Amino acid sequence: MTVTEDAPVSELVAPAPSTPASSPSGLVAVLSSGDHKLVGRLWIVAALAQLLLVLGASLYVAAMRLDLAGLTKLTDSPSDWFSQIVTYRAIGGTFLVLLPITIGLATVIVPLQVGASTIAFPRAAAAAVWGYLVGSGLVIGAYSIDGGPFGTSLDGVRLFVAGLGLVVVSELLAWICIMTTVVTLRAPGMTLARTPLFSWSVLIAGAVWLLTLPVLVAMLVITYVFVRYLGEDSASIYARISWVFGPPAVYAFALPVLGFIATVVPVLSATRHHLHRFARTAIAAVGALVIGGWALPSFVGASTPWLYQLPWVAVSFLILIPVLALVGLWAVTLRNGQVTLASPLLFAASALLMLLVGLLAGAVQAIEPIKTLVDGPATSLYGTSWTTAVASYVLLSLAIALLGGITFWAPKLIGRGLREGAARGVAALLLVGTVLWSFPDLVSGLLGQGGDIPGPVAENVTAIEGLNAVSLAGGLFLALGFLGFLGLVVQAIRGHEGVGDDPWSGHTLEWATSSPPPAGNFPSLPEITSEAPLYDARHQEASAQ
Amino acid sequence: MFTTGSKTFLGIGAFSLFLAALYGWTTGGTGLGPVTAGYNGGVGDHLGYTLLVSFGLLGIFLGLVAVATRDAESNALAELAGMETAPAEAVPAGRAFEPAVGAFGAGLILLGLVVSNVMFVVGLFLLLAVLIEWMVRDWSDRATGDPAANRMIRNRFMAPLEIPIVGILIVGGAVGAFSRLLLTSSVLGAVAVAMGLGAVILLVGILFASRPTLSPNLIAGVLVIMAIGVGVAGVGAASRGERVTEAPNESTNEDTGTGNKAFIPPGTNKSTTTTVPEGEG
Amino acid sequence: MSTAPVAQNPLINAPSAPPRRPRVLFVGAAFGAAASVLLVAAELAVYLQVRGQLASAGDATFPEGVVLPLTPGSMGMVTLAMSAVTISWAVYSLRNDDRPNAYVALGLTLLLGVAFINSTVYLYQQLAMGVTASTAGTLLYIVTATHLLMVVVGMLFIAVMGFQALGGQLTGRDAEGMSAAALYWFAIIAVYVVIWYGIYITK
Repeated sequence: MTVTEDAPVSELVAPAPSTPASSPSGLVAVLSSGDHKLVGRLWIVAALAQLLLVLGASLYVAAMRLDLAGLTKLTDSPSDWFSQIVTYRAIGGTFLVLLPITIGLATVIVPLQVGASTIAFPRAAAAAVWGYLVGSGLVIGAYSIDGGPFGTSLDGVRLFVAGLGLVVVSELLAWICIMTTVVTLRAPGMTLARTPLFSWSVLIAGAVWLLTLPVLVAMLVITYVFVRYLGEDSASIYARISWVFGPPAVYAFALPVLGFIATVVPVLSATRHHLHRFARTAIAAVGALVIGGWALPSFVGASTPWLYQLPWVAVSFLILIPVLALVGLWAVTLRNGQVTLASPLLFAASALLMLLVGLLAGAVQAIEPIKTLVDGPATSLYGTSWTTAVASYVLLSLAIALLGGITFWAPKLIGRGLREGAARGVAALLLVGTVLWSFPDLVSGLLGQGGDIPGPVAENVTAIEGLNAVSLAGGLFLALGFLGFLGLVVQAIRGHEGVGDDPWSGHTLEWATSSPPPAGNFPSLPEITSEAPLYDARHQEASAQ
Repeated sequence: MFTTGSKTFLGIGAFSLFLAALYGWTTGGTGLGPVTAGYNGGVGDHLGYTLLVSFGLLGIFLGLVAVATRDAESNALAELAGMETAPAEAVPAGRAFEPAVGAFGAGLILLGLVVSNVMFVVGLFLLLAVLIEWMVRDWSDRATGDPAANRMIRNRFMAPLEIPIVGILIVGGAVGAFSRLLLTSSVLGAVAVAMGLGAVILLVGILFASRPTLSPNLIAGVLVIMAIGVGVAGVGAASRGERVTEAPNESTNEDTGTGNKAFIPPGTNKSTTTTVPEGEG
Repeated sequence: MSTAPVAQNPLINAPSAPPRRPRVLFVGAAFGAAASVLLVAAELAVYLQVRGQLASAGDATFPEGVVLPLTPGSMGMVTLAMSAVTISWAVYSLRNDDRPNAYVALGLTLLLGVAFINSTVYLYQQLAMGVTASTAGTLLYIVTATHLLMVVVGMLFIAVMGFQALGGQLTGRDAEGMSAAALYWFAIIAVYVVIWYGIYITK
């Protein structure tokens, strides 16, 4: 570097700090860090805080459905804040909570799993989390001034669209950082084929979101302009983006669930993943099927040309094949090994069960002859609360898997372990809660209850209201589970008990470093000759003895 | 030649193209339209078809990138760098406030779009400043192998620009704000405001003089609170903006059998009673 | 005047920077390019749907009296085609450490980018259509303005890489940053080919 050679003499004698500046701490560290572990934790903490808001909104929506006649009066009135809260529950639950936790977990774990010293573009990854925070602030601010979808404040509505746009673009940026990490920063010896399955599922999820989120941004840009210049109704916003919550796009949320299960099952049965290569292909196949931006409503006129057409029906059914194949592989893996029934495995089993029910219900929904059971003109299941239930099964499956992921990777995330018994209790609560929350919606969908925003129901009112009460009870279980989990995490952070570097006898590289990992992640890396380098090392040692 | 990554992305692309053709035919495509992008017949529904073709082509593009980079396997990278093992990516050293400030700038731009042009322009300039800072940092971080030396190079490059500009902005902003305050007060009020402001300036000066090394965390905390304040003020300003005076048009709700608003396909229904803002239109 | 020993200055004896890990920026730029392209493509898809529905109803795409001119669009296409040559020239020169040529090529690319923006603005003037004139008209502005934004992002990318080159980096094997910028620039051109054919030619 020529700068060193040509520096003028007068500058050479100037006092200069030769020691590196003291490493920042506190708020400055948070604001200025490019460390992927801190950035990822920031995603998770911010999203968990917003989970409380979404939880409140969900319980409110569930409680309001106990009196359908009163609700219809409310949604027909000019100040329809119920519909706004429904949209907040859906948009907040996905783009402000679940996707950010997924991104946060991936931001911390993926660089560790692939043996990288940092995430790719660390400063951009930090910018993504700040963009998300600012954007979600704008979204919540817009709701607070009556500007969500169905809102009446024009400025608020524009603020909502702009804020959500910033959130989505930030998430897209975060996915690009994570994907680039998996593709370009893998340790020597770790070919893409040997990438751990969680990182692989995150890569595939990233590819799917890369081909989905821009479509959403485009819809938001168009909506912004149309609301701003053509005086379009604010109800159109939700109609233009709610395709994300319907099949096949909603299944994209489930990809990291598959990766989490595929990580936990071999570790907790102390054996290799059966046919790792096949599992990789199956996850990629799910990815190809869930790029769902094409199944969105027509821009002009009231039509959904894809509904009950061959591509939509085929995708709804085909997705079951790779997922069931994965279930088979996991069953064989469990049978091959010695199973430890630890909490991550319970989370994994619950998430898998809920995902399967969701996918099956989605496939049933794609059969056109199956109609609602009403005396009047029967309608198709799509658009009833059956559709909402499919989304809740899939999204709650992701929520369970994410909490399971935080439990499993807690040593790397916070340097402590969560209390095992209590974590199992949370897993059970979430499973029961999800079933009670979602299953009644399937039945009430059959009985003719409308989807997110139930319109007037002509018959079966008592039965539907009873089912909605069960659903509310499920919501309370879920709330208890989520709050209990937050308590567990807080307790673990405040506790002083350390946890080993590798408490689960893990297979992949994140367990080859300390808990929590140091700056730069790895002092040294083991040799990588398969998808489970630590498992190999343990077995080589055992056979050497 | 076909690596794991390329097979995956090419597969995703090929499947999307296949789905595109299927979609074209099942939504009213005619002849060979769906496989010739409309050259030889109709493609059916334009929206979904165009999107599926885009997914397909982009999947193939990413697949080709994977072929060209050999999945960025570490031995391929080592060969490319002319070394035995691929060089590790540099761990970010030191503090950088550009990401957080940049996000704040983006937020200001969006708030400004809705609330005020001044906010929009300030956000734009903030983002521009962040871009320049980021560009110089990215360059200086790779100037030498010593972070301290890199920091020095950066400061030599940027401090002569930063200090005068920030100084002018602080003084100019303060003078501008004071003049606004003085203009809006009455004659006696202006005297009181001037005395009060003088006292505040004196106090701040004393504070700085007595504690020359304020905790960076304290400064950061004050700045974060100020940033949140700007955001809240902006949202507050938006809440006083235009409103729909009548009930939103609910008639579309009756068209759907299930009475489900969530799945109403959007219409470009311009009969809704919204007030269109004046302006750039 | 400080009497700090000369040896304490970190600029003396600072080791040279370690080489960059190859492909990181290139692959990241490929992902970014894919996302940007899809953003424009999705907007274009909506435009095509609206235009198709107007056509099948027998209506004109734009309000009466508005004619979509072809010449400025074609000029833009020629401009971008030329910039494809200049950006390749810049990448080639940097790889071969021919820095004067690289600077000329980068300057020309940025100039052609400005010329393209100019031709699009001229097209807007020729079009003389209000933003709110019709649904299709508004969508036309959205698609082309998003593409213009992409051009601006691409020019910033090239400018940032040009700054690194001016600052003594991006030499020989380490010149991949410019390839990444070029990849993004080619994506911009590819999108414009689609816009040119799909909007200006087929109307």
